[in-house]
Amino acid sequence: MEKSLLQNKTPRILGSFIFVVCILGECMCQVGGEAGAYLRAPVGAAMTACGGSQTAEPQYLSTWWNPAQLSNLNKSIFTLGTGLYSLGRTEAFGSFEFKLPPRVGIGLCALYRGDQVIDNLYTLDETKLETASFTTLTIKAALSYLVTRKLSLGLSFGVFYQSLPTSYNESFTESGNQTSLNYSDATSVSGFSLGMQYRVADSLSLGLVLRDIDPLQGLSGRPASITMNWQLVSPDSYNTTVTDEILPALVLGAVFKHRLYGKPLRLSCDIDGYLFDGSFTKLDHMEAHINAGAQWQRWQTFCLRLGINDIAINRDIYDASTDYWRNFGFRITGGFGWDVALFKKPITINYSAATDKVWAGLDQMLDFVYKF
Amino acid sequence: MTKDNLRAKRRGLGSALIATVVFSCFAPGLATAADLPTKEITSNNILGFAGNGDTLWMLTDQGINTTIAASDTLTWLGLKTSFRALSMAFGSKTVVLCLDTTNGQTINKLWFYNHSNKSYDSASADFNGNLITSPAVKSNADFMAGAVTYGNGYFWLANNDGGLVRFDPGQKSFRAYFPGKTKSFAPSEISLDSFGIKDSAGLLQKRISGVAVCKGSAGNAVIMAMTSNTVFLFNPRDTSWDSLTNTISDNTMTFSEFKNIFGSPNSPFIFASIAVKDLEKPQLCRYNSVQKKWVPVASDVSSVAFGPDSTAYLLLSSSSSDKIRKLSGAKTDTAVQASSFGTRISISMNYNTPDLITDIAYLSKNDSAGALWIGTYSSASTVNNGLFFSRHEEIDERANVPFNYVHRERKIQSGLKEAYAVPGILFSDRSQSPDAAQTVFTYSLSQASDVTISIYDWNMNFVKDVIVNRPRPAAKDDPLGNGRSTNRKEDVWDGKNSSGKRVAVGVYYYKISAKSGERAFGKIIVAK
Repeated sequence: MEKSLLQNKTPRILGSFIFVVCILGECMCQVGGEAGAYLRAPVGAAMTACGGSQTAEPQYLSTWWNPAQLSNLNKSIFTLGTGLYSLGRTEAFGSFEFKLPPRVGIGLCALYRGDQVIDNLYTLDETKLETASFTTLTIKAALSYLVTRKLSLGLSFGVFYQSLPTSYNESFTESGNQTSLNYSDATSVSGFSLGMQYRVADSLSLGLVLRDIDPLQGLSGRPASITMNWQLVSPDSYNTTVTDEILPALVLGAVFKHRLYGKPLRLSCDIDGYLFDGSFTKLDHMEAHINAGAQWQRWQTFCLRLGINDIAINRDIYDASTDYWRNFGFRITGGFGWDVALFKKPITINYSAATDKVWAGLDQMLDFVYKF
Repeated sequence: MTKDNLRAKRRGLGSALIATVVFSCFAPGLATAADLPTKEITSNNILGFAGNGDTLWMLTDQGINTTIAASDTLTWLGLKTSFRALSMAFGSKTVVLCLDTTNGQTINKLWFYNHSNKSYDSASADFNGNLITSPAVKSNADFMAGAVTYGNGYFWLANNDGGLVRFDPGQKSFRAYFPGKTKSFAPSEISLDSFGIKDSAGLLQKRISGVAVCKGSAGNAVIMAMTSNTVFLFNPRDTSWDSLTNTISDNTMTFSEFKNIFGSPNSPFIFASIAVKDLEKPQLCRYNSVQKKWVPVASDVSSVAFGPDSTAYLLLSSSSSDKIRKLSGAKTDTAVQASSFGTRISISMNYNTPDLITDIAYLSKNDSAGALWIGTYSSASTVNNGLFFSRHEEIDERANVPFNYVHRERKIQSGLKEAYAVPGILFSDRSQSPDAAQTVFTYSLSQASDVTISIYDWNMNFVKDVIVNRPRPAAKDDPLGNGRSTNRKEDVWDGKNSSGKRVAVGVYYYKISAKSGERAFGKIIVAK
């Protein structure tokens, strides 16, 4: 019965995916250089290992991926993790998620990302500056409600913080050139994500998330974007304010559960679309990213994961194919999940390793998930 | 160098970018790559010079930023502070700096650097603000000296509200002098009306706008104080005054205004830049003491450097070219003939041709030879500029004298691993820092190769290709000798993505990759 249901619906689902990809393919890129780049990398070792495709049914960190999943939790989940990316980029995260039976789920998630070793900055006069750091902190709280047995909705609220040096002081003395950095920061307390999860069948789930919008601003007549207002500090009297708007993202995801050699196989796919701005006006530079992955539970306590992440789709494929393929980058991801007993508690250790699109090194992530 | 002169130069810097001068066609001799220390020079943008003997002081665009250089050893001392200087003079182990006081942060103070103590110091004086009507501002009628010179053991300032002011750095004392009066006054006693200059044109013409020093008939230093229509000669020994006429020997020219005054304690000759009616550009004239007239020498001269035996170097400025001419036939008081000019002097260092020459200076070593120093400026970080000099500039000899080139640029030779961007913090839309509105990628290749430079954001999303497969030389072939393969005009990022939109504030990553297999990664901060 289940198989026949899927056989009926799978062509339509795949067709919808292909349609969306084709539509996005007609769009110009580009997301690179837009605010909030650090928010676009997948969070969590299991999700990263699966190519960053967990929106339909995240295994944990639902607060981040799709808050609608929180009302479908069977157990409370506590997560701690860290990541070391190429070129000195780092991250750390933690979350706590639980369900209030029968229909409500609640989650809290914190993510640090940054680069603490920016060590090759020079002044205009080619004097080396001290090592600088780029720090971001994102905190999200989420609420989910199970509408029907198949449909759940979720809402998350986020706080965004960034800090980095934006200028330097310089004085030239007989003992040498003295320099120091001036740090500036920006905070936004108004980011929302709206999530929906629809369980087509026990083996198929779909997810839709509208990420990083600010409807409160929209209600006040301004673009509904998350705005980062930088008060740029400079050593002279030219301090300025710069406002960056984080692009909203529309994410469509699907998870399909099957078996391979008699063992559970979980296939997943996400399409991240950057289609409109905070005014919901179509972007001149739209872009879509495809993420896909698989998780195979080869052993009872050990699973393997493989994926591909961040394949950019845009019209350059047709219009500027040479440029497109020269700059074509994606991440090949892999990892494992291992259920162990630590301190007499059932803990899942997830590890992922991924290329970084520019082949500068490996992005590695490790997290611990405790379900109780 | 006067305040007006410096301001005029700053105004011309923008057009200088467009009008890059090709000097090489005039160059009498090729300069060789300099194996000189470069790191300590505080800036490559030089505004003016002062000094004597083997000590040179440079005024650069980094606030008060002076460098001492002996042409043989080139030991450098850089001093950088946050405020901006308009002019300076050197003497008695002290450098006096006239500050730009328009921003109000340095009111009522004259700053000077004591080279013996190696420290900055300042002296305060209260002047009456004759031309300032606002009481609030008038109370701060400040030390708006636009020019300063050194002679007879003192510094002499052209003070806006104080006339000709003598400064003694040892005592930190000021005395002011009026034309025609032998008595000196305290600054607070001074009023421009005291000058006794009866001119319906108003107070502006009573202001001393330029000072210079020349050698008097007895060999002593004579201070020249210039107003817009008179050049006064002040003898500090007996505090006597004299004045020069403003008649031009060429009957076709009608005097309009004195723009600048040039002199040297080692030369009896006096040059002045004079605005002439119906002529767009001022004329450089030399004063003929017999005829008591000003003899036109050249047009549109912005600076004069005095060499030995009545030789002078003239810096000719125009919007399209800057040229240096050597005037070697000015030994008599007769009018200068065209044949008195030697070959045009131009500077070029292989591919390096500076945008704009801002000042020249001649520091003598002996009676017949010395060093000629040439300061350049560019308003963009992509153009080579800095300090040029010839070590052995001799009378009537120029043809084969090479120039040395000194600039602030680190020497890198260890391949792409030392790649970096200058500046590392990019202000892409801040007009206050035009030099920081773009970053130059600095790298060295072990062998010549085609190079691609690409920018990525934190998530390694592609942002822009700065260059794609452009041929670059090996570092060892860097014509400037700094071990770089960088093309400073092309290897530049302005903080925009490939769609031309300014990127968001944040950290960005760049990849420099060569077809030969070398590659490097680095980081830039974009602060908008």
